[in-house]
Amino acid sequence: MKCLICYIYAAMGHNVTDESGFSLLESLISVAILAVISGFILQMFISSSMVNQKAQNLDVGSAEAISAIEVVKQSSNQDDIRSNSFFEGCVFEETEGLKITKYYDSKWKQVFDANKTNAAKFILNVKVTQAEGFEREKYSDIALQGDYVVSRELAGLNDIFATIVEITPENKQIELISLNTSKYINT
Amino acid sequence: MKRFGLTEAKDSESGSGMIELMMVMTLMLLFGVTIYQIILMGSDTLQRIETQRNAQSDARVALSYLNVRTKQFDGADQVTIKPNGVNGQNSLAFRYRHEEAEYDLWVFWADGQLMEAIAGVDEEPDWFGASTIARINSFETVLENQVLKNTITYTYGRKEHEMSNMLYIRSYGT
Repeated sequence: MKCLICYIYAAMGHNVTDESGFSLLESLISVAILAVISGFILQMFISSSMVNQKAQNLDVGSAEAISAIEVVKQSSNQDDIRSNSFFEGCVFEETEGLKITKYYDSKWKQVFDANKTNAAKFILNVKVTQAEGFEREKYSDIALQGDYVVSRELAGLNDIFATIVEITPENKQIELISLNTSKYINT
Repeated sequence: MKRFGLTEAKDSESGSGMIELMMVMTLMLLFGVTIYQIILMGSDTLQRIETQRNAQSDARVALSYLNVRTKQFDGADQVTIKPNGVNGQNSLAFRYRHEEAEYDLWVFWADGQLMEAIAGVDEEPDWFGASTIARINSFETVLENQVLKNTITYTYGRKEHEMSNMLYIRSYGT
């Protein structure tokens, strides 16, 4: 029985007889074909593993984002948010409301280092802003009393945004998940 | 073109026939071993991916279940944490009313599984009457300042991972 290579040889005009054996060339071609097939199979496994890892990151990320929103919802002022153990070691900024940034490494452990951005693989951004159309003046009087000065920005109806961002090795930021809700915070 | 093959090797007059035959045999052996290794590795990898996916899915189901159940029973004095009668670990107990009678829906961890069981008020949950929600390594629940924190652990790959979520209990203290 002629092998495939023999047919190709014959088609190319070479004289191939039935006595032709299993040549070195054929063996090498078989190994090459096997290598190509193995490459595809390996690629499939790698992709599958990467998809699993991405799903894992999405799961943990969404759990963290939900937790952040729940903590903000439970808080009645900025002090409550800042003192909650969930936001311990986070970066707080007060620009147009309150912005909280929490850094995680690739294993979702919180990064506390001074130079956070280098070690960080994931970032949780929480933004609490006043809802559009909200009559701020109406509530500012209540909010500005005594200890509640710091909570001025949080008084009334607030939009809460929680976003999980992944930092790629090329230092690009990809948004993994974004959640938002609103809450009336009473001071 | 002169070809050296199995047939020619038998009666080859030149010495190179045997060498080539040996090379081909070696290559064939290598070929066979490689295929065997690829099958073994492939099966191992596939199994690992499958296990990871199942563990991940179980963890997702467990957290989602806890989320939904807690929000479902978030009413006055309905959410409590108390040790269960199966292994004494802290568990969630949701109180609810059904046809004039009150019951507790227990959510607890036992034998590597997150389970739920219905029991009468002040009765302990029964392991045999419980249903499995998901297979996880551990479950811990803490209720503090109106926030319920559920933490589960599961094996992903060869390491134990932890996942937790926090839920604001709106009915707390009402």
